[in-house]
Amino acid sequence: MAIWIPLGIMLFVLLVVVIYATTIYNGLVNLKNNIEKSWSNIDVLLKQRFDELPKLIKVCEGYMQHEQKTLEAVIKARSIVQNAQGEQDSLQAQNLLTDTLRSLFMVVERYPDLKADSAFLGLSQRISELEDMIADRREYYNDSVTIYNIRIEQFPDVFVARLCNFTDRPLWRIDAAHRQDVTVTFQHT
Amino acid sequence: MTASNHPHLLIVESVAAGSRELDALIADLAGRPGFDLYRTRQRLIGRGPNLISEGSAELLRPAADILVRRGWRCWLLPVEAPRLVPTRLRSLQLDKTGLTLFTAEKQLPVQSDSRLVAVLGDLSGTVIDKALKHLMAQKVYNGVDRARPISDDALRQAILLARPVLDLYLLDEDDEPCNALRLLPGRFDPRGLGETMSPSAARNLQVVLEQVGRIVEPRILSLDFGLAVLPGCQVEKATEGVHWERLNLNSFSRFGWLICRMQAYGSHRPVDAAESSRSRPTPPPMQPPAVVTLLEEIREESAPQPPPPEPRGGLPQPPACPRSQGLSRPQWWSIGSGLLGLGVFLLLGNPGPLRPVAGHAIRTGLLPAVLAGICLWWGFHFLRLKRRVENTPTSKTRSLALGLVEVHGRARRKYALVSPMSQQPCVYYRLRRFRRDRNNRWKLSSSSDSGHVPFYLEDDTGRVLVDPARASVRPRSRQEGFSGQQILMLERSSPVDRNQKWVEEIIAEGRWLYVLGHATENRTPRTSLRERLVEALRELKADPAAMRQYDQNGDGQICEQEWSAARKQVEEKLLRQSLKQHNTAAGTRDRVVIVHPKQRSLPFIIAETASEAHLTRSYGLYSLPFFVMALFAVAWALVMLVKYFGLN
Repeated sequence: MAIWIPLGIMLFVLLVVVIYATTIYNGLVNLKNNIEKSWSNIDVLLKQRFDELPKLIKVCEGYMQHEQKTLEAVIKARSIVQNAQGEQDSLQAQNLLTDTLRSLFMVVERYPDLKADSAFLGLSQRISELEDMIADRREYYNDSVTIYNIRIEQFPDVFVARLCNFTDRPLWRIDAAHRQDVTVTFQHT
Repeated sequence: MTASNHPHLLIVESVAAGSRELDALIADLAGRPGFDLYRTRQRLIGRGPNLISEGSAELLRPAADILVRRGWRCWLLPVEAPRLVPTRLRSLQLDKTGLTLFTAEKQLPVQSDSRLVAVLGDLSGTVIDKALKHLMAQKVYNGVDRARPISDDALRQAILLARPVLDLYLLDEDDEPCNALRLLPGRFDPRGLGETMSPSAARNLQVVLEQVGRIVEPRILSLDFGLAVLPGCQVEKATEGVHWERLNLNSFSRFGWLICRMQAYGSHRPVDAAESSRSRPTPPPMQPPAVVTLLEEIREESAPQPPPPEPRGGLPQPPACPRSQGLSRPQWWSIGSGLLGLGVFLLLGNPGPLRPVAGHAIRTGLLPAVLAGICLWWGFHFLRLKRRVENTPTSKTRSLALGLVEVHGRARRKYALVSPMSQQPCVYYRLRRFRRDRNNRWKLSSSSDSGHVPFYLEDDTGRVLVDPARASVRPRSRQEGFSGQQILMLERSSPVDRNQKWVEEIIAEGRWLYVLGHATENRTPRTSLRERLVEALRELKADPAAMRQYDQNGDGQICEQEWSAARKQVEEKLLRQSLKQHNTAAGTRDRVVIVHPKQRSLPFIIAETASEAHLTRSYGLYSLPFFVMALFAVAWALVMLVKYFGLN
């Protein structure tokens, strides 16, 4: 009895450890896939924004006869997004598109008729909503990555992570240019 | 004691609900001696005249001036005992000229030139409950700021159906009461009513009230006994062994006297207004038809108003509970646990043929091993839940992606759901009823919940619909009581049964919620732009007059270019329409709903907690005892196994 009972308990503990390790492994797989999914969810919104652009340009064309450059910049940025290869290129292209859109909306301030147009209002609101949602999902993506990165460095998950080659994932950081303070100047006449 | 030092009552006509004007008034009254702001607010909201302060006239007059300047009607009355007690009516006689009322000692005619005050009240106190319930329901369904008091007609009907009493005060030329009569249903001879007489005593009282109103318009018809807060006018609940009827009749006499005094003194006017009126030429004595009586003012106030705008908090009724199809997951668990318990009971407790089987299962260590397996499964179940909660990032409702999501926010009702026992507005309730068994233990007799009623979860970016069907709901608010006993104690119609009890758990509106569930598209019938375009083009083709608009060359035919132009124009029109609809409906449409995941292994948790850590901690704590029990069960199984096989 002196041998069998401790042996049995050890076997039980081993069983618990194996089940626990499996739970950890499954959890890490789940986290990893969650990151992929959150990235794809951002892509869905970026695609929606991409699809809205032709309509926006079409509405703006009628009013903005003297702003062809701005409109062309948006069209060009859109085509860069379309042709982007790889994650990094795509990210840069999306950032460029965001910048050009921002310029477009700034220029619109000079066209009160366009601002009052119901189609433009609808489209600009829709794009603005999409931008907000993209921002939220970026945050969600970064949360997913953070949880994953913490998990694979935490005890006891670290053993399973190293054993199964789970490596850390990069956060989605914004461009350095966007982190700079906005300089506001007033022209005194 | 001088008149100014004599104690006075400041009585104000209350309003149905709070408003900005009320807040401004309370701010003005703040800091004045004798004014407790909480009580003042409480008294200013309600029904009928309410006492808001007592003191010398000198002390109260500035406050009364403020009230009047702010548009409130108030009365400043000296404290005095009733000088007139109504005499019981014995009989009456109705004829063409008027109504003659007979008491034991005298007869009093009521004619068209009579002046009188009528006070109709309920002695049993049930009308107070009814009015309170009405107000509470109004607050729940329409919101606190839009609660409407019970109407005069409904109140009159409720009084007549309860324990009514009618006092008529006849006034002299100075509006001072000179005679008073009390009409108690069934206590006067109604034969004088002639054809209008009814076998119902309450109906006869109503007929008298109607006939009095037909002959002479009472200066005041007060229905607010018990609802108005006036000194000495409280209503005792109708309970056995207490002389509640006598006490309430005394209160009713004091109430009637105060109402007459208010008529005699008239509502308060600020000093400068009174002085300016004195400086003006004295108006000719007012004839009764020209007198703007209080009753007329009340009638103006209660005249039919245009329908109010849709209440901000007006919510639809909750959907009816669908009939359950098959057994739900918790029911399966209950049945499974019951069968397991029954099995263990039969194995261990029965001296029958199963006892040797039980003994064998224990001796071989099989039963402890099964127990260890069950404990282990539950331990890992809670551990997995804990990790699932920890591993899922929180989403914003504005940008919810479909799939498993975790959201935090405040619970908001989509439907006007109210908990069945405590009558609180809530987003979810679970009610369980228990019955005491022979061994004096509580046994579950029935259970119901509001799992079929969706609600909203609101965070700082928007809100999302949550359908709590089949969710693991963890409310924090819990009330319990015996059968026949409600939290508010508004009704005591049924006796309290201490052998039955109820336990109610609710998630009240506005509480912080944690939701982990499956976000899915809320499938509402919605046609795509392409479908609408096809439909619009079909309609265009069917309308020759509309088609002629596109016939640019006038040949009576639509060529390919003309059709292309028509199609483009229709497409643009539809696009604009859809954008417009998107603008207007974006806020109201429930695009996404959080439901129970289709995959059974995934959890659906709705927990009333502001902190996710609280939830994970509790899951961690749940798993621990299961692991410990599993360890002991394994040790037990091993001991039995070793003994059985003689391995020692």
